[in-house]
Amino acid sequence: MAFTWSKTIYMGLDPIFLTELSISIIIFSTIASSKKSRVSKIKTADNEIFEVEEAVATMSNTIKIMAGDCSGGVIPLNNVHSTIFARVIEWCKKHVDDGEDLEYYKGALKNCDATFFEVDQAVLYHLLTTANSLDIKPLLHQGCQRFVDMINGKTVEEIRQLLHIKNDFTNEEEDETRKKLWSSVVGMNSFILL
Amino acid sequence: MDAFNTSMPLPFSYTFTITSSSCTTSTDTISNPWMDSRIWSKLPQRLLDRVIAFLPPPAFFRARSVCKRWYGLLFSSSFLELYMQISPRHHWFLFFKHKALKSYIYRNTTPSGGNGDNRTNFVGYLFDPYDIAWYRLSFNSVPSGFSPASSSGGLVCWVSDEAGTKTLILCNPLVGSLSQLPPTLRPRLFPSIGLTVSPTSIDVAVAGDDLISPYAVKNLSTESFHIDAGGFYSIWGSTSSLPRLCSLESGRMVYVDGKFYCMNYSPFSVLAYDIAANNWFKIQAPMRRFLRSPSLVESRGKLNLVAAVEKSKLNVPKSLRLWGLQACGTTWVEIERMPLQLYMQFAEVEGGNGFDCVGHGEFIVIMIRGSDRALLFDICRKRWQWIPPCPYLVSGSDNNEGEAELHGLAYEPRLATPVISLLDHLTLPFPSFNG
Repeated sequence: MAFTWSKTIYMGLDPIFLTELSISIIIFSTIASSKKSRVSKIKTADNEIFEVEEAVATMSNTIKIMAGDCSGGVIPLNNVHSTIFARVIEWCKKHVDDGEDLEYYKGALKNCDATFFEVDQAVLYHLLTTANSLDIKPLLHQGCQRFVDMINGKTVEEIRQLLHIKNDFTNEEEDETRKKLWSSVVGMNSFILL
Repeated sequence: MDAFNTSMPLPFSYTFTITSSSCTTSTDTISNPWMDSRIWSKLPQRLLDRVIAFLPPPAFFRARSVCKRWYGLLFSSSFLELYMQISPRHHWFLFFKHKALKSYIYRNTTPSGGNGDNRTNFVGYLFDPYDIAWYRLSFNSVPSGFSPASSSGGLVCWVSDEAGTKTLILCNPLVGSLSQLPPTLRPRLFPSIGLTVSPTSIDVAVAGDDLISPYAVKNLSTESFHIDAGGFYSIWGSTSSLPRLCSLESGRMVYVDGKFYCMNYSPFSVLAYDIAANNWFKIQAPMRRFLRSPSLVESRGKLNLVAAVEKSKLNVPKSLRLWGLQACGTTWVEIERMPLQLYMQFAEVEGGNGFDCVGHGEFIVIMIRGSDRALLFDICRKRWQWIPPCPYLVSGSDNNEGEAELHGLAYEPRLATPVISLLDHLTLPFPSFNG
């Protein structure tokens, strides 16, 4: 059936028109395919250049905006190191098609991304701050969840020491707060304990 | 606003649990790893705020005692804005001790002698299915004569017990806010209440027998209430009739995708109310002649029906099944079945009393009537487990009445529910725009 159809078309159309049509199709498809594999060039703080697919790179809103300003040139990231950036891009490649639903990422953290965050604390810190500065919301979402899981179980005093926060309550105020806030129950998993 | 505001009553009760500090189990090193403060103290403020917004409410309230700045975040509009954007949804549950509602019909004057009913301190038991933890929530601001009916988007809806036009109150228990809706137009007895709250709108449907005449056949009608940030509102303006021969038996309504659903009894079917179109229609229930204790639950945006199946004539083992309503809106597909061994255990505990189910997100809770035993089902992980009894009821001070039956609501704790401010405009006879 397809053969008859094309035969009919062919027989009904002017050959010159057909040639023009096929040339246009070739041109459009080239543009389309080159758009798909358009590559962003990104330079990290240690002068290393990364060539990343545009769709992956623009998961970062910061890069997206900078790409608009640079229009084809190299995008400079002055406070991201190449090792961290490589990891971030690796994560972005995995999640480029996953959409905007942040709840999905919480689930993904428990499954496929679980090992991504099993890194040194220094690396985790940089992943978090980079996700923040590059404005990659899903990655930041997962990173924060990971951080919350790590501080889960720390007492209030441990939190203060960890984050170098000064306790500015007076003794009286602190007792008042302590009396009003709630505690978890015997034997259950705890959150931040008093 | 004063960062340290001690005058605001905090919602959660504090119980001295001496043994809580000795919770040093092997999971501690996993959940409490050593963290290098030289690294983490350098976290930027904004990122820290984001982490705080991620904390589930119990952890959030405890984190507030770290310093005055963290204490004040609950009142900071920039923090709350961040919170509204990124806070993950917590699909928790809220349980209340069952009150014998029927006693209220026959009480014609102010309750003089009744001590248990003159409750000024309504208590709810908050259950976290992720970490299997119980908390106790006081509803100090809810007046007596109201019972919890429904919950959505962090708000709990209370309905007046007395027969007559019904007054509804929406309350956010975490911040203690209360807003009253204008009373329904028709007097009612035990209506079914449906509530759905989004960040920008509130929809309430009240359905059930209205007291047109004590001698007349039950006239089943609905009233619905709508208000949204776009300025549209309908104060019980939309009314609709339920299909003939309905028997709602005052259940709650479940909201899924623009419709409220509730169970219709004898014979079993599902009634659906399309909010936008303001009309009701019936959906046949699966295996309707063999169902026992059917309940409707919302699961990840879809409507599910949970019921026990008993086909005594055929050689089909008794089971508890879960069906999902398909996109077409009329057919059901069985999604899950309780493992047979567990069902035998369940049936033994249940002893034919029946059960009720509530659910949202990935969790379903099956509460056995007449007892405080309940089963938790995680749809994603396909995990069934018995919920440990609420410690506040077992050994605590609340167990003074002897009746341990719990009724539950699917509740999502939220620190802020700004949509409730829409109701404030309703109290003004002429809306003023003084800003």
